[in-house]
Amino acid sequence: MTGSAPASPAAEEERHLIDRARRGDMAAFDQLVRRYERTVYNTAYRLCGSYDDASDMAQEAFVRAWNNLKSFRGDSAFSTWMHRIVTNVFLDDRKRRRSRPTRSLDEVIDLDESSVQRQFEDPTPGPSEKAEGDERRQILEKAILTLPEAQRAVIVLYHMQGLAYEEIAEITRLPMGTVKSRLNRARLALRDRLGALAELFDVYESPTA
Amino acid sequence: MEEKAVDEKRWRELASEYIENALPAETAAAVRAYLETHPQARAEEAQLRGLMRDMNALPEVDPPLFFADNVMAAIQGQQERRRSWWQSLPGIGRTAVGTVLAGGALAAVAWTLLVPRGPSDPVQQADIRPRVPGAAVAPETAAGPARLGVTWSLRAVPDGEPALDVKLVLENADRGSARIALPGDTNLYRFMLQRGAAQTFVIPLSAARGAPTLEARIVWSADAATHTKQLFVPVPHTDAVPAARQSFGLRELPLPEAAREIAARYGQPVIVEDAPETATVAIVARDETAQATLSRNLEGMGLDVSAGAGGLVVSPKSLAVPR
Repeated sequence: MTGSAPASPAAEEERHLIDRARRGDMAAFDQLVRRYERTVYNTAYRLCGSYDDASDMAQEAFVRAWNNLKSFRGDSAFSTWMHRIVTNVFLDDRKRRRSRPTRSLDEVIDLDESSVQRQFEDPTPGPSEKAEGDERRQILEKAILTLPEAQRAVIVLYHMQGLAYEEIAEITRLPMGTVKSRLNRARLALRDRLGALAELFDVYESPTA
Repeated sequence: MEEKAVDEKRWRELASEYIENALPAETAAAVRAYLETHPQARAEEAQLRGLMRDMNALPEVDPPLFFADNVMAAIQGQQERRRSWWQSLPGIGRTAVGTVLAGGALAAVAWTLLVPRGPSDPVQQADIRPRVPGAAVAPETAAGPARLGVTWSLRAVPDGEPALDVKLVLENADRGSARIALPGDTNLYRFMLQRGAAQTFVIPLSAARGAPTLEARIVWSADAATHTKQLFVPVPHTDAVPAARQSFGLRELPLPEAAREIAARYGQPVIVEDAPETATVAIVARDETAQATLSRNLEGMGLDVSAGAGGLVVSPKSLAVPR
């Protein structure tokens, strides 16, 4: 590999694990699963919003990875490849659910001001900062789940998995410009949906004077 | 080149890049000028910054206990089924299959050589998915849709609390999952299911909390379909054995509650499968057995009532399996 930096020991070790797993070494794949279970599970969870569905999706992703290891050539990071698989598992699952009657997305979140009022009309002494933060987090989590799947995916990959635009472009097989504009639209959609509740979030000072 | 003036539409297109300091200097200056003279847009910017900060701070969640073990168990099971299928073929069968595969491979090679193609995307092959999720390669013929067999037995524990051992066995599917909710228990019990392998969970008698039945609600999935089973198992007691034929009337109740009543009155377990839980029914028994009572009262609801080894099973007519 002319001109490229030598791989780190950790990267080399992972490459050996992948090579062994490709030859059918399940112990090697077991190490890969344990290395990536948290990140794959969290991606699945943030995409679908359900602990149980996330468990099924994440398991399906690893099984698919095992079945298709021979096609992984190392052009991208193994983590990138796993993110792509679990995202595809999620999108496949949504396609299947759309062909069956499902509960309305309106059930996922109720963002009208009256529902918010119920949360704050608590006769006990005012909520602690932690409780306010928890409620805000729950509102945000639910709002993310109301986004269209394609927007939700880029939000999860960027904000929750901390991936770069380039990685997201590789995972979604979209041009980077499309990833950026989709992420922008997703953020604006969240802001618009939460707009009525914006006052309940802290006012984040704009650096614009 | 002078940046064109920013309006609301342009501000929204550039919002993320502005906040991430990714705009060229002139464009950023134009956006800043717009924000300085448009308070609503400035408020929107502040809210976007807050949202982005909050999203970055959303906590990670822990995967379930034994998640990695379950993954490897699923893969192990898949490998064993593939080996078992291959070994189950007689020698001539293996030769025949091998010949077909070899012939197919030759044909594939010839196709590749003869037919020009565009550049292949190796990463795309990660999208390869089995035709039936979780299905083994083995060409076994499915004996119908996936089913979850449920059996139970009452365990009397010396100096301990009696309990109901409930066993789940997945049939006609390679793998699935089950989530079990018990009344009054905030925990949700989760199991991974594999074909033919029993999973057991225990319901202590105290879970009845004075109610006449022990209950569990099982949501299980296999082959991309989700089903429900609700168990109503009468709590054993020392009173007289309930009469096999009874006469009574119940007000209109949701179907699960009606099933609970029947189980309690007749001392006979009832399972409700995939039936609409919001449906209501008024039960009237006219010197009838439990099965006859349920059959007659549920007749117009598209539900079938059958007698199984574990008790009565109420299910949609399309799911009814001859027993």
